[in-house]
This record gives sequence, structure tokens and C-alpha cells, in this order.
Amino acid sequence: MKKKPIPSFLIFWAVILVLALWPLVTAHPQWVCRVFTMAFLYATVAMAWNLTALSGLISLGHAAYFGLGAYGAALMDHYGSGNPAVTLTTAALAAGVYGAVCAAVFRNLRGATFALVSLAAVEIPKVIADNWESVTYGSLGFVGIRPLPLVHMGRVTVDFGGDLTAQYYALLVVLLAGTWVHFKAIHSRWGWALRSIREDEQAAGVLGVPVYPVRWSVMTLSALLTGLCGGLYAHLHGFVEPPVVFSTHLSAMPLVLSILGGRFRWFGPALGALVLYPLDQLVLHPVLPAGHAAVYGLVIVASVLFFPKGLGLRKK
Amino acid sequence: MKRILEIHHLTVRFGPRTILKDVSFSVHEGEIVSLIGPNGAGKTTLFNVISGLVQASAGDVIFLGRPITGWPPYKVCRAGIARTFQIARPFPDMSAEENVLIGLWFGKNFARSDGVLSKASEAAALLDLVGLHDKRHTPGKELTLSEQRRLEVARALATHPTLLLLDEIAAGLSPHAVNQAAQLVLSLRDRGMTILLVDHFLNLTARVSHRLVALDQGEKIVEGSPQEVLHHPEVLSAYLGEREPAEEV
Ligand SMILES: Nc1ncnc2c1ncn2[C@@H]1O[C@H](COP(=O)(O)OP(=O)(O)OP(=O)(O)O)[C@@H](O)[C@H]1O
Ligand SMILES: [Mg+2]
Repeated sequence: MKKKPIPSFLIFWAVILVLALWPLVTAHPQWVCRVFTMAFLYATVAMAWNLTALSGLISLGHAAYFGLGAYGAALMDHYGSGNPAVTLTTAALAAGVYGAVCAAVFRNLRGATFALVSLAAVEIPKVIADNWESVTYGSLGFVGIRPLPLVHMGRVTVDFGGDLTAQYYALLVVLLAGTWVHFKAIHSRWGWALRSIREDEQAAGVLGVPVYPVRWSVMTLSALLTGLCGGLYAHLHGFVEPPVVFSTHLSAMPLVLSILGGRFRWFGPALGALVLYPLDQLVLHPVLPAGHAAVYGLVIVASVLFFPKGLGLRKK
Repeated sequence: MKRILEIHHLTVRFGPRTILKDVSFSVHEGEIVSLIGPNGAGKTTLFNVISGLVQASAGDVIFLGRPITGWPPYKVCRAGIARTFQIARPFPDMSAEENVLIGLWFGKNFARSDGVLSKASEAAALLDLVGLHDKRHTPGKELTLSEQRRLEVARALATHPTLLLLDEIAAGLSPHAVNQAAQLVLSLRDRGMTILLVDHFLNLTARVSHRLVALDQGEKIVEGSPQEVLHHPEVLSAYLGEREPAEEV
């Protein structure tokens, strides 16, 4: 008799439930909250990245969108309005427009060529941010970006800027919203269009799937969401500098998290992030302050070798 | 008779090579027309141009009176032209049923919302028609070549075409299977479909076609009834060294 394995989406919901309840029932060190807040942010980036991957293209350049989002929010905060509704919209638009342009310009590129060109596409905004000193302060970056504001909800006031528990819950909501979008990109008519394009785009085309419109819009959406996360990052950290927000690490991370969690499961990239990021920060970082990031490389190698379909594995 | 498809002075170049040279012909409503010609004559390329996968260098494709030259494949499909691929290309990780459902959801009568599973019975009927009912849950990549080819046909039909382009559906089949394919083509014609066939080995052509168009090295050499075309000296010489077409008739 074969035992039925626990479906991995139940594991995902169990993880979410524990994460949602844990700060309410026990003491919760602020730095642990902080780590999970960032895990939620990177989980959302991973799902945004995977939207592009679901259309069959592996991007190695999502740091471009993250960085543009971070700089978009920082510039708007510095020169315009500090209202997060405005800064975050700017962040999403800055990245979304660049994503839309890239999707149109790279329209005919596939596979390794696309991956390489997407990697190169990070350099353009990065070099601008690095060198246009009168506007961006160059390599010094922006400091003093206003934190997220106080929000009055009835008689309660929540300080999203100073209260790390509040930030934790805010980002948990962002994660769930991102998961919903990612779910739809797999389980819907739109999801079937993406899947057919991924499996054979010429066959998809002659069966009536609008290959280019679908791919262009999903890549734009992917960039937009990544930019939004970049904007949130700017407010959470209070400073941005080119080598950080345009880093190769940021481009590679969503790929690692998605591969680990399973690229074709709606909860895969998020599960990968919720497992690996805290593991890296809470367990490996204290033990191996210098080499902990190597885990991302190890994970790629190990999961490609042993779990080609990711942790959320189900025979497919 | 109504013209379904008109090809006007079509020329296709890949770099320095001219693959199709000033090809013109038309297909009328309810007809079965075969495109014949030796290896590399440009038959598949012509299908690729009609279905929007390859851009013409000059000339026009007119479908139901409307120029569709340069349209993206999905628009051509939704206008009512479906095709099969000579080398079958099923979606490898989708089941046979899901392969067909893609055509049902996105083809001419495409769904505008997520009423996703509502077409399962239509998919089952199409899989029945090509004899793949038992394989409906098998992934595309695990089907045999002949099953994949039948899946191509079912999937193309799922888009509700007015004009069906079939690229070598009988190549490499046993005589019995060729008969079945011929029956299928005739039954589709009886349902009101217009069909353009590509047939290199002349397996199907003579049995089912009303007219033949012969291509050689990208040029149309002759067009007419099967008897006329298959005995035309230029067709004979084009096939010489390949296979004697007349002996099959
Ligand atoms: N993408 C391409 N780039 C360059 N040349 C091509 C391309 N596709 C086809 N060709 C060339 O165009 C010519 C016609 O090819 P095509 O596939 O249309 O022939 P065909 O008549 O279908 O032949 P067959 O009977 O072998 O299927 C061939 O010489 C082929 O090498
Ligand atoms: Mg061919």
C-alpha cells in the first residue's frame, strides 16, 4: 500500500498560518520579524520573476526592475511626494515601462540569448543611477528615504515605519496578493495560454493563442510587480545604492527560490523563499558570516540534481 | 463557387535563397486541393506563410476576400484557418485532451472567460473522431508518432476552421492507415470544410483531391485535375529519381 503524501500546497498554507499566528501568541524578537518581512518581500519578487518564466523565458536581469523600483520610489520621495501611494506607483511604473520596452525590443530572443541580454539590460539603469550624480547622488546612493507612514485605522494607529510587527503583517499581505496573481498565472485560461506558449509557442500560435500579446503583457506585469517590491524595499531600508538594488544576487535569487520551491506550482516560488531565506539569514548567517550566501549556489546545484521539479514536487 | 483562399504572386526569400517564386493559385469552397512536389519544393514553407509563421517577401494571401498577409498566427487561426505540422508538435507535457482543449479555448470560438472545463465533451468527441479516446490522459510526448499526427488533426479541428491545411498526414503510414486518413479527409469535406493537403509521396492525393497544384523548387509548374497533373512531363521529371508518381494512380 502506498501512503498518500501530504499535498505540498497544504504545507504552504500551514506555513502561512504559522507565520500569521506566531507573532500573536509568543514573544517575537524584532530581528526575526525583520527577516521574515524580507522573506515575504523576496517571495513576492520570486513570484513576479516566475511570471516571465511561466511564459518560457528565464530572465537573469530582474534586478533591473527591482532597482528601478527602488530608485523610482527614492527619487519621488526626495523630489516629489513622500506619500507611499505615490512613491510605490512611481516604482511600479518605472519598472513596468522598462519591462514593457525590454519585452518589445527582445521580442525575438529566446533561451540563452534572452537570458544573456536580460542580464545586460541591468547595466543601463545601473550605470545611469551610478553616474547621474546631480540627480541620483551617484554611487553614494540615497539615504533618508522616508519610512512607511503612520496609518490611523479608527481609533488605532499603526506605525508601519517604526513597528516591525506591523511591517511584518503588511508584507504578509503583499505576499498573499502576489500569490493570488501567481495562482492565476497557472490556474486560469491565462495560465493555459502561458503554458502552451512555454511548451511550444508556434503550435500555440496556430491554435489561436496570442503569443506576443500574452508574453508582452506578462513580462510587463512581472517587471511592474518587481518594481513595486523595489519601492517597498526602499521604504523599508531607508537607503538605496546602485550595487545593492541592481545586484546580480537580486537577479539570481528569484531563480533559486523558484527552482527550489517548484516553478510550476502556484505556491512554489513563495514556499522556496519562506524556507530558504530565513534558513540563510537565521541559521547559516550566524554560523558562517562570510560564506552563507553560497547556499544559493548549492541549492541550485542540489535542486537541479535531486528535485528537478522543486520541493513542491508532484509527478506531472 | 466561392473562393476561400487565394495566393497571389507569393515570393519567399531566406537570405539569398528564394524558397517560393511568384506562386499563385486559389482554393474554392468545399474543395480538396493537394499541393505536391518533391523534397524541398517549398510546400511546408507555403503553409508557414499562410498560417503566419513565416513572412512573405512579396505577394498576398487572401482569405475569404480579405488579405491576411503578415497577420500573426493567432489571428489567422481565429479567422478560420487551421493547420497541422509535418513534424508533429504536440504540447509535450499536456495530455492529449489538454492539447485539444487549447484549440477549443483559443481558436475561432475562443472563450472570453474562465469557463474552462465546459468544453470537455467537445474535446472527447474530437479525440474519438481520430481514434485517440483511450489516450486522452497520455502526455503528448508519450504518444507514438502516428498518434501524435492524429492529435495534430484533432487539435486543428478544435479551432473550428473553415480551411484546414494538412501537412503530410499520411507520410509513413501503412496502406490501411492511409485508407483511414483518406476516409477522415473525405468526412471532413462532407462536414463543409475546405481542405488544402500537402502530400509528397502522393499517398492521399489521387484518392481524395479535386485538384492538384505541383510545385518544384519554389515554382508552380502546373495545376489541374489529378490525371492531368500526375502525367504532366514536368511533374514526371521533377519526381524522377525520387519516385514514379504515375505508378501510384
Ligand atoms: N527557416 C528556414 N531557413 C532557411 N531555409 C529554409 C527554412 N525553412 C525551409 N527552408 C528551405 O526551404 C526549402 C523548402 O522547404 P520546405 O520545408 O518548404 O519544403 P517541402 O516542400 O515541405 O519539403 P518536404 O517534402 O521535404 O517536406 C528547403 O530547401 C529548405 O531547406
Ligand atoms: Mg514539408
